[in-house]
Amino acid sequence: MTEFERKIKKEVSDAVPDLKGEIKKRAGLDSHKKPAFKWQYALAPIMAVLIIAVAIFVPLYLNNGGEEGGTVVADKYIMSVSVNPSVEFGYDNTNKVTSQKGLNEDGIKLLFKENFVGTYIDDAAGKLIELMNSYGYLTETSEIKVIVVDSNGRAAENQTQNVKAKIATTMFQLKLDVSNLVNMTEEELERLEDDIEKNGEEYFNQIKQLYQEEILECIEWKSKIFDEVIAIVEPRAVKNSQTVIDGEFIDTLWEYERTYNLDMDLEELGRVVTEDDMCEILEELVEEKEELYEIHEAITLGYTDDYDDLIEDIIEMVKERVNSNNRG
Amino acid sequence: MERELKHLTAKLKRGRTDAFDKFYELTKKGVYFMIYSIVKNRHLAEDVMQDTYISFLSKIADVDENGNVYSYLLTAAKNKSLNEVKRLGKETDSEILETVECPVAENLSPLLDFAKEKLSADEWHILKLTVVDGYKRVEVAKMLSKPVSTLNRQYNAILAKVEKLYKEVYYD
Repeated sequence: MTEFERKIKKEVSDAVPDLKGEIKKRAGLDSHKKPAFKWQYALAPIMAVLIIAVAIFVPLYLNNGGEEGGTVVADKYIMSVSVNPSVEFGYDNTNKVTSQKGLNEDGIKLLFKENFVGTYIDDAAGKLIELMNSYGYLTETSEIKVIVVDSNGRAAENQTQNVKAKIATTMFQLKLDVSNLVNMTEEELERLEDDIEKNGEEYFNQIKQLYQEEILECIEWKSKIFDEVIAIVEPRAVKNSQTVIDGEFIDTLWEYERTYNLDMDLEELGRVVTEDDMCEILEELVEEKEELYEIHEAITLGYTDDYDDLIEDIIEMVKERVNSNNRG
Repeated sequence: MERELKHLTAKLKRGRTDAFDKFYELTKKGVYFMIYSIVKNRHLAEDVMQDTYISFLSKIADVDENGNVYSYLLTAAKNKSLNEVKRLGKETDSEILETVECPVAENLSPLLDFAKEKLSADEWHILKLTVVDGYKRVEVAKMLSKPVSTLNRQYNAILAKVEKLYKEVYYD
């Protein structure tokens, strides 16, 4: 996404008030979340055979605070957390995160497609630790170093203690050894910042390439899954046929839907499923596969910024693979 | 976006209220711009926006997820806005009365106002579908029966044109 495009989109977005909290309250909606899909279970056998190439693009640039990811509001404080990965969050005097940046290669990878901007710093700190833990970056012996500096680069002791308290709570919940939480020195922070200033662009470009290849490969892999299911469904998709499909066949489709996060709308089917019903499922599958193909084509042509929510599952998979396969 | 809205609406119908966050994020820009273009007042627009979504949620059982949910929501937003304007005795632009599409309110985004003034109708249509209505370029390409690559080229050319004109006007 170009800086100008982002500028227009941001301006439009900023003009719209966020009323969903109020609407939900007034409409009496309560939270009911579906458990997150666990790719590691679904993909274990496939991962063994897939060659790991990898790739990323524009949102990473934003995430990494490149020229287009600069903040609009001046940061009041900057919190830096270093384990490996190392990252920093800028936040303002209302404690809201206004910027995010990887301070080393793994930090850049970790922040890919993650957005902490707009959240409160203590929530962001907690979520960051959970994220590092979920990707296996935190071990029993990992030291978590934290420092908060003010806008003049001076250590802000009270802020550091506040953030550490939140991180300690999260570590405790995750059954991590809280004694591994220590202060980062200003010299250590300076070293990280020097390195990212010198090599940041190179890291960014490498990771961008890595993610892009990975996403394309995952799209190709998922297209093959679609081919598999289409080949199964096609012979049973007969227009106007009232022949009943047996339960075992439906179970096979359910298995595909669950395992590969396909969207066949099986839950919409009635108790008795006919060959005519299969036509709709086939249509849905073909349409989804075509859409994946179009996205693949667009990414290959270099238009990479606009498809994230269409390939959300693939993005999740790539995030996990990149972070899991590149830990030291 | 359309397929996603269809699935999110189906989830909402099944009581999966967690689907509302994403539903709101996908539709809020078009809905708000539609409302503001009619009521022309931010506070009033916020009230009408809340009413629009609350009303949508209360009637969710009757919403056909296989229809054009976005258009349904925009129509509801438009009708509520017009009612409000009528109630307050305000005047309404005739252009707005004729369309269900989001007409894009002026004075909400100076950049968009500028783009609307400088672009041709076709160019503006593509930009609006993408930036305000939130359609993916893949979807816009389908809507306009163009290959994705062509649409992408056009879209980038439109942005480049607006950017160039904008710089000429404001920086030169």
